[in-house]
Amino acid sequence: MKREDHISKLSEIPKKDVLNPPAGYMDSLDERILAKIDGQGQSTGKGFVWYGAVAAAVALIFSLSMLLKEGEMASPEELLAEVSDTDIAHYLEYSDLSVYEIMDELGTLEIETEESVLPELDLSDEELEMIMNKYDISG
Amino acid sequence: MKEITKSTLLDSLKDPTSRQKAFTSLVSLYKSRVYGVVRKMVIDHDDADDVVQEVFIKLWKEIDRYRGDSELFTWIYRIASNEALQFLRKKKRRMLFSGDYREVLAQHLDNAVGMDGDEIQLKLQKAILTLPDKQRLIFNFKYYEELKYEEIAAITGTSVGGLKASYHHAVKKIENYLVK
Repeated sequence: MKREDHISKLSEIPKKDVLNPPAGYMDSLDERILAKIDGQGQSTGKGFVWYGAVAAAVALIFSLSMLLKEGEMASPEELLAEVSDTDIAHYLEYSDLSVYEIMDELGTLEIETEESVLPELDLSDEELEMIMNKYDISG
Repeated sequence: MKEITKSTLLDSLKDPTSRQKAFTSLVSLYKSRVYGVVRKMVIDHDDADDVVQEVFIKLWKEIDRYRGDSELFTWIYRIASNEALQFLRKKKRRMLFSGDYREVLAQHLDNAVGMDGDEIQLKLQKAILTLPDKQRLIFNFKYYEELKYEEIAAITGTSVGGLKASYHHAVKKIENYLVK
């Protein structure tokens, strides 16, 4: 084999799986997966997380729509400055939108008012998951 | 890749009375391969552990939606790929203001169990990390898993021509990194 500092071709490097699990990891993996699946049959609290994310999104959209209603077209920076850091962090945590995408949306799209947004938020967990998956695929 | 138990395993998975047992066999059969695919993407073992468990939970939930029109491993790898990519997207987003997530992945590489001070392997892993995530996934499937382009196409939904171009470009980028 060539000296390591002279290797320039992939074919000169021995193919080796170096990212292996710690010893014994695989022995307990089956059990942990099956236990998690059993646990999912009961209430997991996942819905609470989803609703928390939706609540944060609603707070964000509502705050922005209220600002727009006041008549002045504020800049995206000004709009975001009015929303609490917690709401933004929570929203970003559970959404696949990047800040750049949000800024872009603010610059081009009309933000929906409270009346037009709220009735549509009566969604099941499955519907919410579908929406999130859709963003993941297109992201 | 051999699908020795595919038909019996599939029949058992579809039957509610044997589903649990069949799924246990599926986990046992595929856990190492799923871990390998995921770990090479997320790098950190603890992150890989979380993602692998999510993959199998998703497989369990979606058994009824699997129609058997693609190979079982294709379906499993597809879900594993999607979960790993989704994890990385979330990680990237969380780190938007706090640093480059690739640097964090590279740090995990430095501390990875199994590197055993093998400098050239570490350099190769760091070279692979410079690739965009989807290209990295394709590279790993071709180079490490030794899948055919047609199989990778079925997993990723990319054309064979596109995959060939992506892989060759990835190899070039890696070799350029190696001579630095």
